[in-house]
Amino acid sequence: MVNPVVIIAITLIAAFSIGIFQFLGKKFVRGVFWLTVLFDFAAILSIAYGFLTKAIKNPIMVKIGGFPPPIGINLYVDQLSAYLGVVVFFIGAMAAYHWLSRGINDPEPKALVLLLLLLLGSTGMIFTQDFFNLFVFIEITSIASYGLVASNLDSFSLEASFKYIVIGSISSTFVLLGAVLLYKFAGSLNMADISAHINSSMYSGGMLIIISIMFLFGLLIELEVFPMNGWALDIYQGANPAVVAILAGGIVKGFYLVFLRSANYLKFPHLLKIGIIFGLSTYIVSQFFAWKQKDIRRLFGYSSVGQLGLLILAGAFYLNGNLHGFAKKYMLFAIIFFVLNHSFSKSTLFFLADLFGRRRIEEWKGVLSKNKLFGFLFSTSVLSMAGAPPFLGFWAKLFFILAIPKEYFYIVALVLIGAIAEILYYFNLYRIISEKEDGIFDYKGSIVPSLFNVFVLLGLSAFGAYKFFILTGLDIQSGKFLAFITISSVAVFVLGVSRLAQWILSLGMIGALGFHVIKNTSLVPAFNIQSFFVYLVLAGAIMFVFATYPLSKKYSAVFYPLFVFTVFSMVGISVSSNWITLFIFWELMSWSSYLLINQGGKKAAWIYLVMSAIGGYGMLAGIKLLSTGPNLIPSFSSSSAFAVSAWAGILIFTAFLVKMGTAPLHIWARDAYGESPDGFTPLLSGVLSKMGVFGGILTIVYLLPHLSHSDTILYGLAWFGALTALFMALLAIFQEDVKKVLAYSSISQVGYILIGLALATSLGYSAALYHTVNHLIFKGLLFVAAAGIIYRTGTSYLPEMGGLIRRMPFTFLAFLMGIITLAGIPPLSGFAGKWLLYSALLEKRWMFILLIAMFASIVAFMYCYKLLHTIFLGQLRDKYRKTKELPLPLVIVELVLAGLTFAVGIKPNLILSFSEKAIKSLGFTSPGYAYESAHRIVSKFGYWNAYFMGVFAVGSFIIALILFFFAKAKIRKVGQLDIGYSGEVPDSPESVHFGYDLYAHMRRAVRVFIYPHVENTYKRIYNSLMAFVDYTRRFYTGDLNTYALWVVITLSFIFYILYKGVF
Amino acid sequence: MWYKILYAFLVTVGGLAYGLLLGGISRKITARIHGRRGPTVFQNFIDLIKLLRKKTAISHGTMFFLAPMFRLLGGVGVLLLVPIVYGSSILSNFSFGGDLIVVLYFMVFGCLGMALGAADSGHPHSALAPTRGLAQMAGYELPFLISVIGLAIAHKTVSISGLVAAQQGGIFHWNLFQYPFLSIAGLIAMLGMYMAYPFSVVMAPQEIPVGPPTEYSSTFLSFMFSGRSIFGVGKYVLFMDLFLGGATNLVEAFVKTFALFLIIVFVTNVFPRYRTEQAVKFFWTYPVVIGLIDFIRIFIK
Repeated sequence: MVNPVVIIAITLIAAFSIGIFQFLGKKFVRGVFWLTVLFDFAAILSIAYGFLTKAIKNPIMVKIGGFPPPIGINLYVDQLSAYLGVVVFFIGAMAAYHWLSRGINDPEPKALVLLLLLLLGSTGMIFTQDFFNLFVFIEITSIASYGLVASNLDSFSLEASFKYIVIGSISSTFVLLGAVLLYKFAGSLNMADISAHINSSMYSGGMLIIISIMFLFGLLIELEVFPMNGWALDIYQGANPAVVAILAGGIVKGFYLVFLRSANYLKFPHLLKIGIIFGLSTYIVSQFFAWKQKDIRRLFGYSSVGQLGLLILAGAFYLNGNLHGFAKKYMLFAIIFFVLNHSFSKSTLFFLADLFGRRRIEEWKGVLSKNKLFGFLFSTSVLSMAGAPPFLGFWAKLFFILAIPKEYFYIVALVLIGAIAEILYYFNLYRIISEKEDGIFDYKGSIVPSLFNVFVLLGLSAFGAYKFFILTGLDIQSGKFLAFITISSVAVFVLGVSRLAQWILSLGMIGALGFHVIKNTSLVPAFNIQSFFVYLVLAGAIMFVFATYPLSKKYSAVFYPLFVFTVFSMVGISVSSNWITLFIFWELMSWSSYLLINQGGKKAAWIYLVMSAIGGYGMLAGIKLLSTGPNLIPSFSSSSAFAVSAWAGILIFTAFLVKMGTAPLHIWARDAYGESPDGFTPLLSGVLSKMGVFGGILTIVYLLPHLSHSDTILYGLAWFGALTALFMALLAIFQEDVKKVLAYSSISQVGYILIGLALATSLGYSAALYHTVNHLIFKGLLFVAAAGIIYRTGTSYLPEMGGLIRRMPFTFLAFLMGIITLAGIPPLSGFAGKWLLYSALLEKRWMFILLIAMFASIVAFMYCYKLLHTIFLGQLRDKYRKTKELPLPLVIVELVLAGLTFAVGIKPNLILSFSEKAIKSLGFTSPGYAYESAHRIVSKFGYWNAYFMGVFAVGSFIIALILFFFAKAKIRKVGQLDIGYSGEVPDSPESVHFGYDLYAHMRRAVRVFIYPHVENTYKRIYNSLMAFVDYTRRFYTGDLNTYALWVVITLSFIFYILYKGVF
Repeated sequence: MWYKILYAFLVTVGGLAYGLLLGGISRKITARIHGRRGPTVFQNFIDLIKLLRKKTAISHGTMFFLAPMFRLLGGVGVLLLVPIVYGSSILSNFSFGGDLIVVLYFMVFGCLGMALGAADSGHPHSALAPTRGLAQMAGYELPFLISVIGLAIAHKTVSISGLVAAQQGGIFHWNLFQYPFLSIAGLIAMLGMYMAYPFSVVMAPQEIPVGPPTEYSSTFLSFMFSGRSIFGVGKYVLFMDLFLGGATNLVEAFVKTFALFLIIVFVTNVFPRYRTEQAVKFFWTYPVVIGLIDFIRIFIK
């Protein structure tokens, strides 16, 4: 272990020696600089390592000059300051490396001296235990930063620097004033000494409160709190990004630690309120103001400011929020993870912004695809910043939310709203960056620092996950499973040298997990609702991944890893045992599927992500409402032990409704289904939306019975389901893109499942579960076929197709069976789902819902016919005369699924026997219907004999065929254009193919129903918010006078509320 | 079982004959209204035999080829799934196979087959007709569903025999009198289902020759023709069971179905034609409002 004072001394000496001996040349200067930085880093690392391994048990006290405190100045290094020191020096070193690799504008030695001073100042700031000394170090830091900020010597940076000087001086003045008055008040400058002499009763009506506020106010300015942070944004925008990276990644964190520590030593009693007022407002305001940013650096600046706000909030709660036990521990880790996450990801982002050099966001278009490494680093940092699992930011946010006391629910809500806003703008940026664009991409400088940062970030993410699962005492199975998911998808990426290898690996992994689940009963003890969904996911996934190979050539190398990731996280959802694990896997699923959709339609993916975030964070808020008790993790069954408000149920359900695409949360679905990679869409529709069903069942069975108004909620859900089923079917009719028709059809069908769930009777669950599997079968079939057809024809536009039955007979057969199933016509499997649902609705006397549901299925015939006609029937175009049948894997999957619909149609027990067990595991004694011999199913209202219907249909069909051949006529095949067309011979297929706008007449009848009311409402809300944000962000005038004025106003505000006795 | 199949065969043949006869009568009545002599009432039998004796049949493709079988199957299926005579184990046919919901969905089977065959012919008019038909179906099904669901809830069953049983015991137990508004809605929907005249845009002879079967001829057309006739009879029986109290013997069944037939013939001959969207809008307003009167009455009960 190195004496901390040596670090300061060495750095100081090095800084001066560079200044003096710079004539010795560049190599000498750089040598001294790097030696110093490395030495400091190693020294602090050794201290931190000592703390980590518990070799150092107590904080280190260093008396300077041998004088004991309070007379002498002393350094005080505890665990947190040592860790923070490591971070500061690491980021500092990376930034310096980055800067040097790009070349420093300013005379290099001067810049390096300032860098050293900056590091020195911040280290001293973190380590000192003396108020005056603190001021000195703050001054050193500030002055060094003034110079560094100006170092680009352009108008942006000079202006920023000048603003910083003025505001920084105001801040220092307050700190100095505070320190001086404190000395007068307490007769000491040593923090520990003062703390020992202060108790909170001195705050009532004394000088102390004014002193403390002055001192802390100075620091608050440095912490860039709203509304005094205009200068900071100008720095983020204007200064050299290398400098900004140090400031945002390291120095500000030093100020943060100092702020918290001073408040703690001063026993400042109003920290919580100050923290809530300033932290929350800073967080929310900056997340929203960032929406309109066109300059990427300023956008990152807003994000940094926002993160600081969150940190202040977290710190205030940690010190002053009356947290106990687990909550306190969680909050501490939240703070640590927030700091680390922000330091490493944000500095990486600034480095990358600097490397590429462009400021305007539009100029970043296509960067992701042009340079894979750059793209990887950028994506990782953005994902972690936005709080995507399994990255560090996610664990930080989760700890934070869990730790906030329940009576501050409004803070949870606001923070989550802010988080949604953050995702909105970060991924709007990401959308632009991930768009495809040709052209060369080059950057100036070294990417190594970013690489280092991201590696550390990844390591920390793993640590964060580990810590989360250990601390929360969640079942370690889930933690291990999370690791397994990550490792397997990385393995697919690393080992998959070609798409073929990736395909085989993915198949192998999903298959192996399936095998493991079947063999190893410890994962799923008895067949219950969870194993039902595990099997569903794995069976669907293996089929769909099998079908992807022919399509995979055009997919990027991350397609299969993400596919595996999504599939496994869905398995994780299905086996999770409490709400938090469910939430974690839920988010994993949402984010990985977002990245997959983003391989196709960018804007569609963005909308999907934002809606998923609304759902996911809604769920988290709901879970927060549920959580009580010592370890804050609500398990499924324990939610029955206490009464909770109905909002918990509604909020949790939001997430599921989003994934199910229930109106009015469906707006993502059309484009996400329509534009996602064709190989992924079957999974998205067939399996992923079913996770909503799973969550819905959990909520309805475990949670809703304990909520007030649960009957109203269920009836409301049924209405939502019914209206979704109807209106999405109506919208599907008028789509001209094969995948968009199927998309609307999907969410319409899932609407039926929702009705089944909302019934909450055993027959309702039977219908829902049956339809869940059945929808997987037929919609998977249709989407796989659509993928193949798009692959063969190169278009998804329906009017472009036609007559393909002549080229793809097997696909037609499968597609026809899929459509018959979709339409619910006996004898295929679709009818059973309809029959069960209608019987359940009849039993419950929900007449209007039944009416709408049945009517929706009639409406569905229209798009069913449209699909068959426009793709396969009518006139074959000349350009498709040589088109082949789909590739073999796709045909195999299609025919297997078509065979399944037939088999299940005749023997519904193939599915019903499973769903019956699942329903019994929910506590029902019967599935709600009687399954008699010969596959006759009887409900209270009616009956239906599946086997008879199948035999009858097939038998009469064969008889009809035989009769036909007894007839006299000889069959003569005629050409495609030989039609009785008003005595005219058509000359081209196009001229007689009826394929566009099939239901123009229907459109005239239902115009008012298919007008995109919901979508327009969303757009209107978004646009008005944008306009509002655009107007209010002018709050930051860029004028120094107003910035200074806001400082004054804020101070007056604090004193005013103090005077008013709000505190 | 075998005797059941034998009877089913007889019912099918009988249904075909009855259907063809009704078609002939309809043509005759229409002719008389026009002031013509009109063809003989057996004209449809003659047409059928003529079609079956044609020497060649033209095919446009696989689906085109299969569609008439689908059509016939759909017609026969509906006829056989609906009990004709209440209490008769023979003439209730195969109604053990499924309840009203099964019949409602099986009814689509034949229409789907025909629509697909028509589309496979490559003739734009044949494809246009099914789109009109489906749109109109979405129109008339709403009032029809209102009456079906209303009756099912009112009688606590969706078994057709059960519904007939609930109407036994005199003319005033018929749903037509028990639930007059539901019945009116259902009967208006029936007009749409038979594509009777204000709702005949699907076939629209002057505009798109004869709708779906434009390209069909010879044996193919004879199958479609028979399928349609049988389907028609099946639906008459269904409506009789739903609203007119079913039948306890064959004579009653003839009388009641003939009455339904007459309603359609008389309506057909006095109306011009709605366009598709007009038909849809009509179905979604007047019959729905009428049907909802009883529907809500049952709902609050």
